Parts: sequence; structure tokens; C-alpha cells
Amino acid sequence: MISLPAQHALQQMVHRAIQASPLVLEGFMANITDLPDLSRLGTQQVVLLTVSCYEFRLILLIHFSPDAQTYAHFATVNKLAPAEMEEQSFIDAIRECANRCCGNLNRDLARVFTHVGMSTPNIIDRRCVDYLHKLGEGYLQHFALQHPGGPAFGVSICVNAFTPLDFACEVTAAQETGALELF
Amino acid sequence: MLELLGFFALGFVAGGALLGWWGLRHARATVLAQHMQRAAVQTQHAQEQAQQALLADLHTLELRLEEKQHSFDQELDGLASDHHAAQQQLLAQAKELRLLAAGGCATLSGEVATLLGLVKTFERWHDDMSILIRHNREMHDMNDDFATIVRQMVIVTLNASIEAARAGEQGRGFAVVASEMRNLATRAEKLSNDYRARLYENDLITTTTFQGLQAGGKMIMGTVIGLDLVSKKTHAILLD
Repeated sequence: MISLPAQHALQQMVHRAIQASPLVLEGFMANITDLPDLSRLGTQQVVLLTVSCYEFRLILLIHFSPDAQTYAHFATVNKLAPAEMEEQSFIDAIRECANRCCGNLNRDLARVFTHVGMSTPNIIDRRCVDYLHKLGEGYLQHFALQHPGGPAFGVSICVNAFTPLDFACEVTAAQETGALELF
Repeated sequence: MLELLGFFALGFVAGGALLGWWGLRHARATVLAQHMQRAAVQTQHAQEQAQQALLADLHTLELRLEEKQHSFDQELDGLASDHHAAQQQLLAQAKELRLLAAGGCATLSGEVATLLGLVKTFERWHDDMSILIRHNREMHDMNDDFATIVRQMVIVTLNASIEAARAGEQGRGFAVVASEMRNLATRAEKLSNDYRARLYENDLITTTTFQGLQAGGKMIMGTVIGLDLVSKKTHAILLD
């Protein structure tokens, strides 16, 4: 249902969405690698959002742990001292981060698909992700995200297509200015 | 002398002949002049008659032209009048249609504004979803409590079995009860684990279903807002 060029395009869009999101501190380049499964990730929670259109449903999941390193990361992102980052501020920050990451992805998808809509984020337990296959056949891909001194984040996309999906996304020199060329 | 007379006579005859020739020629010229004069008079007369005839024809043509011009003017006035009437009718119809279309656009904008109130429905769904997630979390907590109790029960039943074994023959009946209780506790533990797994599955399905509804709703809202913009632009053009 989802062609290889379409899968490749989705991967590129996700990479760009991650890079432009607060998952990566400003001025850093994230090292994004494919993960065969989530067994080595070791995160505890997931914030997820859905992008929906007539052709498919895409669920973006960001894996994180509410530990000191992640608190410190979002304190830096929000220009706060680590001690100032309380639980509710942290939840707001991680939801906002997921919102921006998915918003980047949504914007790129909107160049290919006329009508797309995006949900608000929700946080659920990491163990819920083991049941993604219950949502139906589709394309599931996990990514690990690392950058120096930062916490470990994981990102997954789960795409359920309702019609055959075939599109391409070619990154050109314009990528340097933050624009993707879609074909 | 005779010769002189001869010469004189000859000269007289020659002079007479010359005079006669001149007179004859003059007479001919006079006749020719008179003839030409008559011819000129006749020609002039004919020309005058032709001119008068042409003038008469011209006058007739001018009269006919004037009649035709009048007729054309009348026809043109009629056509202009018809054209003006048709134009006025079309303008009136166009105005009516424009007002009708503008009214339609205004109605559409009103309906769209009502439809955009759907956002309140999404907010209600979001609240319901929050309640559902909170409810699921409470069920997780209750199940965790239940799992703790079951684990404790397993330990207690194990202790009971040990105590029953120590009691020897007198504890045999108690050992059977303790064994049965341990089986029940083990089954309860498995049930609790299955229930926990189902709760996580439920969390995922509930959340993604809700998000699918929300994202689909926003997609529809985006389309409706696009329609509203087109309607408002059309309304502005119609009333411009």
C-alpha cells in the first residue's frame, strides 16, 4: 500500500521535522539512526500526535524518559534554570516540542496532500507502543536520536494507508535554507 | 498697243478670277462659320437639356436618399430603443442575480460560522478524552494495587504451605487449602498481568481513535475555512 519512494519520503520528512524541533538544541545537528525495534531505547513514556487525511493516518510518537537529563534539556530549550523546570512545565514543554515536531511534518505533508489535519498531543506509557500493530497494517519505523550531551530520544512513525500511497520527496540544495522540494 | 491691251485684259481676267476665288472662299468660310455657330448653339442647347435632366435625376436621387436616410434613422432609433430596453432588462437581471448570489454568499458565511462552532465539539471531545485517560490511569493504579495484593497473597499462601508442612499430619487439611489458595493467587496474578496489558492496549487505541477524530475534524475545519474565504471573496466581488 505504501511504496518504497513514499516510505523514503516519509523518513526524510521525519528527519527534517526532528532537526527543526526542540528535540535538538539550537546550533546542533542530531544524529538520527534507524532502529529495528525499541528494545534498546529504554525510555518510559511516549508523547504522540496524529496527522490525518483522506488517504492515510500517520501517528508520530516521541519516546522520552522524565529524568534529570531530559528535564535539563527542556529547561535549556525554554531558557530556564533546571531547578525552575517543574513537572507541569516539563509536561507542557514535551507536548509543545511534540506539537512543533509534528507541525513540521504536517507542513511538509500538506505540500503533497491537499487536506490534512493534526491532533493535539497526548502522553501515554511506553508499554502502549507494543500494541501499535493492533491499529492495522501499515508502515512502522523507529528512529534513535542522539546529540552530544543530550538525553536519549526515540521517534516512531506508524502510517496506516487507506489508498495506495506513492509520492517522492527530494532534498536539494534548498535544504540548507530549510525548504524541501516535493515532487 | 494691242499687246498692252491683251496684257491688261489678261491681268483684268486674272484679277477677276482671283477676286472670284477669294469671294468664293469667303462665302464658304462664312457659311461654315454660320454652320458651326448653329452647331454650337445646338450643342449648348443639348448640353443644357442634359444638364437639366441630370439635375432632375439628381434631385430625384436626393429625395430617395433622404427618404432612405429617414427610414434608416427610424430603423436605427427602433434598434437603439430595443437595445437599450434589452440592456436595461439584462442589467436588472444581473443586479437581481448579483443580489441573489451575494445573499447566497452571506447565507453560506453564516452557515460556515455556525459550522466553525464545531470547534466546541472538539473541545468537548478533548475533555471527554482527558476524562477517559484519567479513568484508565485510575484503572492502572487499581490494577497495580490488585497485583500487589495478589503478590502478597502468593507469599502468604507459600508461608501457609510451609506452616502446614511443619504441622505435619494435623496440618494436612490446611496444606490443601493453602495450595488451593496459591493456585488462585497465581491465576489472579496472571489475570492482573493480562488486564494490565489490555489497559495499555486500550490506552493506545483510545488515544489514537480520539486523535484520529480530532485530526479529521481539523482537516474538515481547514476545508470549511477555505470555502469561507472563497465565499467572502466572491461576496466582495459581487458587491464591488
